[in-house]
Amino acid sequence: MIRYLLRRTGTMLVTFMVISFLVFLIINLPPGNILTNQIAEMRASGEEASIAKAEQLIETYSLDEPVVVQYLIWVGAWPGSHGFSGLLQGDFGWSFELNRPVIDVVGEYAALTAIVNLAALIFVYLVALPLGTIAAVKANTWIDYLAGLIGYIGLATPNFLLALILLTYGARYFDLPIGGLMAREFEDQPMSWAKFQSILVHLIAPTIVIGTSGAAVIMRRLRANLMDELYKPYVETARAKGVPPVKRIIRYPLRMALNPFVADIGNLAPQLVSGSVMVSVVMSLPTLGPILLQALKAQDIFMSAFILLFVAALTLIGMLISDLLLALLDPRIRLGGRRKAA
Amino acid sequence: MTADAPLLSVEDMSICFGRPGISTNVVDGVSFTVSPGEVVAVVGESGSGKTLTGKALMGLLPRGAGVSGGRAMFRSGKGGHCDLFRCTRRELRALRGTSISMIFQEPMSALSPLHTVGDQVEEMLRVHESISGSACKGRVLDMFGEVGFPDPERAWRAYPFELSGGLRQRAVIAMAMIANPRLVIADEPTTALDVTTQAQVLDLITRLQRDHRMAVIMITHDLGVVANMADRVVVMRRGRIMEAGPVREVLHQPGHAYTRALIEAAPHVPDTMPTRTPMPDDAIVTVRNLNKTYPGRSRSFGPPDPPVQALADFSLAVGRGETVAVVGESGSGKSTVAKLMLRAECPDPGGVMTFRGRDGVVLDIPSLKGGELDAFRRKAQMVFQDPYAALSPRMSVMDILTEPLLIHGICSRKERKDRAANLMRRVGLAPSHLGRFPHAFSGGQRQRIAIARALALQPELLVCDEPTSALDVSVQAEVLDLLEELKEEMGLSYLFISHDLAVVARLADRVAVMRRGHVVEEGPAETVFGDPRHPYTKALMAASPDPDCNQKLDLKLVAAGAGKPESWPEPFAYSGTAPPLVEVTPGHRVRRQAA
Repeated sequence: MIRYLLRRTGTMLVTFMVISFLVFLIINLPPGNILTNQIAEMRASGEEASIAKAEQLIETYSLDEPVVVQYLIWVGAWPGSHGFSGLLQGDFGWSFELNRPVIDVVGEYAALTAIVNLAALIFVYLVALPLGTIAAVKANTWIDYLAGLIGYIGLATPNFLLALILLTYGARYFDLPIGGLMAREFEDQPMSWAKFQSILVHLIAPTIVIGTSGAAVIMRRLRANLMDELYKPYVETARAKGVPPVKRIIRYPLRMALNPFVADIGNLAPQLVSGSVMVSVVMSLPTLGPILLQALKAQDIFMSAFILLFVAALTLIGMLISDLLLALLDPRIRLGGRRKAA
Repeated sequence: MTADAPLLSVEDMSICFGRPGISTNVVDGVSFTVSPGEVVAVVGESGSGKTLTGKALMGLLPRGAGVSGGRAMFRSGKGGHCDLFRCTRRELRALRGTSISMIFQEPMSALSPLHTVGDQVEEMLRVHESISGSACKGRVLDMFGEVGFPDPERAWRAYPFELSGGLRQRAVIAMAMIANPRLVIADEPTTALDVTTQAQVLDLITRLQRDHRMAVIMITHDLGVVANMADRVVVMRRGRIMEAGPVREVLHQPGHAYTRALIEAAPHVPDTMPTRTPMPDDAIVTVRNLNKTYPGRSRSFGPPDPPVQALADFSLAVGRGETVAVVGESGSGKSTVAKLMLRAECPDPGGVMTFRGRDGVVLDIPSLKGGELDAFRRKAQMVFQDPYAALSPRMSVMDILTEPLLIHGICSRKERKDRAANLMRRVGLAPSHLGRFPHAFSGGQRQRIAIARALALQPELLVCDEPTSALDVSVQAEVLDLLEELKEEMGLSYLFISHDLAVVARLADRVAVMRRGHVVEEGPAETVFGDPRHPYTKALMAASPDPDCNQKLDLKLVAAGAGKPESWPEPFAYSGTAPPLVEVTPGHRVRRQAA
């Protein structure tokens, strides 16, 4: 088990390195970015001071070096103009568009993104698990059809529309706050109990909006998986033992059907992050989605690279978690290498 | 057999799919009784309703099926009766496991892969009895010891996929027995097992049944199992009882024609075998010192698993017009022989494997390429085990039979159709059925189609990999007859791969018995069957049950030969490298230490 864990973590780190390189490469592929544009402008202006500044920028960001070296400097594995200063050292780069360090811009947003997505993920599973199970066990009855209907509505409604509906009626009938992730007075304030509460209340609407379609997909999948398992011989064995129905279903077929369910955690994370851009705009959520969009449009290289990397990290962590859960749930994965006993 | 009142009496039971009255009954008016401590066998071929009968008693009928009539009076603990078909679900649940339990056919799928064996067996106690965890575990471990686990503690912690097939079935039996039921329904409990394992498991069931004085309903297709286990027999066909009575009477003086036919079709190793003509000098296939090693599974970290030697120092010659059988249990390497001989896979370098066609050209099978390989494939064809999986469900029989001709570009469209019609006639099917699809045919008919397909290219060598093991006994007999006819008619040579000595005894001229990649004994069929020398061959013969109450399984012989090579008696035992094949009488060779 420990070997499995080490192996998975090792694979994850290697993957992360490859991804970071690809991200950097792709961001640098299109000719011209916010930095080179500035430099070109300075040169074109013909003023000596500007040209000198441009030279200095090139020097600072090692733009005359090959991409690989630029990458290594960015990572912090190669000495740049300021010595070793990159991701490894905790320096996430400079946003040229906003003229602030990336970490200042992104810091709280990244945390809030993680919170919103975590909440959505939990919502997805809390809704999908019972609904999917009931739909499968009571297949082709009104409960199943009702669950299916809710699921299809969840799938078919555009997220932003759902967001608008929830905001309108939530505010009217349940006194839910409109937009944002916290009340105005807490913005840029240090974390406190009142702020935490405010965030929680504000989370309700976005969680439902972002999570609904995911929940619908997962529910249908769980239903299909469970229906395949419900009539397998080992379930019949349990019936032959006289195990009561609820216990029987939870203990045997549901556990088997959970495998793909758990494996989805990793896939769901990036979907939620990228899928929530529109929602974030509509609900004015301070998450990374809109910032990423803006950074990409402005070709703000370090900014977009960092955000993409952050999303990749979320995905990888999600996958690691699902791998570990799978190993815990399924002895065939955990003990696949163990020799036959007895 | 006891004289007291029956434990279970099934009266006029009918089962139907769909709504009663509208659909026809698949089990119709079945009545029988089971006395305490008695073994009743329910015998029948597929579609006879024997499994449904067993499941109906447990209330485990598949969805859509229901009991449409009759009753099943079960005498529960304190002398009270209850009708199993009219119990509430709760009552039925209370009966399951503690009063009636079930042993299933496929131990791998009957056990949950996610729970340890100990956990699953213990659950039976936890559901029905309120006893402490440690007491539970103690009882389970005792039971594991009783059903023959060498190390009960280890079995407790093991997952089903970590156990061998035989041990898995022992776990299922332990599960059925742990709560001391009064009636056990065993649904083909040994069909999925190798013969030597089957013999041991049958013995175990008999022993437990006697020790615990339980009644057993043994559902099986195998009259040999019946003869060894049962006190009374119920013979079923198409949902009706054909004949019922004490096992000796039914098997030795069958009253019904169907029973007689079943007994006749049941393959068994005859006591004396006709002497076959010695092997002709003209060998169609010659194999010498062939090896096949499969690489171990590689791992992303750490060393790969050690390679698996599937076939070691294998030598065999198939004479023209001869039937050579390769017999062995799962994992013996017999299917590897088939794959190598048809060049589905290549052997390890070294060794000889040549094919000599009627034209006299000698082909070195492993090194064939291009056109030569195509020519070889025309001459050597294969019949597969499972006729359901071997025919594409999306192709009509016409397409199936003409495809080989099309691939090899032989003859025109018109000729191909004529040939297909001829093939159909030859295997005993009507040419007018050429337009149908495989699902319209029964298992036996499908196997005939598969044989016709193999014959389409007019091959000289036919490799048959367990061609009848998926079929009912009566159908099996027909298919074997067909194979024999075709051999005469078309001058074919057969390499016949089988786990079943009785099937092989019917048609083989020579036999090679394999165990773990090695041939342990080979020779003319009459000498191998008449004068077996190797303990493993003896074990195989002793383990295959005969439909004859006077010839019960000899478990001492099975135990002596079925184990690991180290446990074989001298001079056959070995560990590490195997001893050579020693010729004991002309043509009869046995793997043993040289005297």
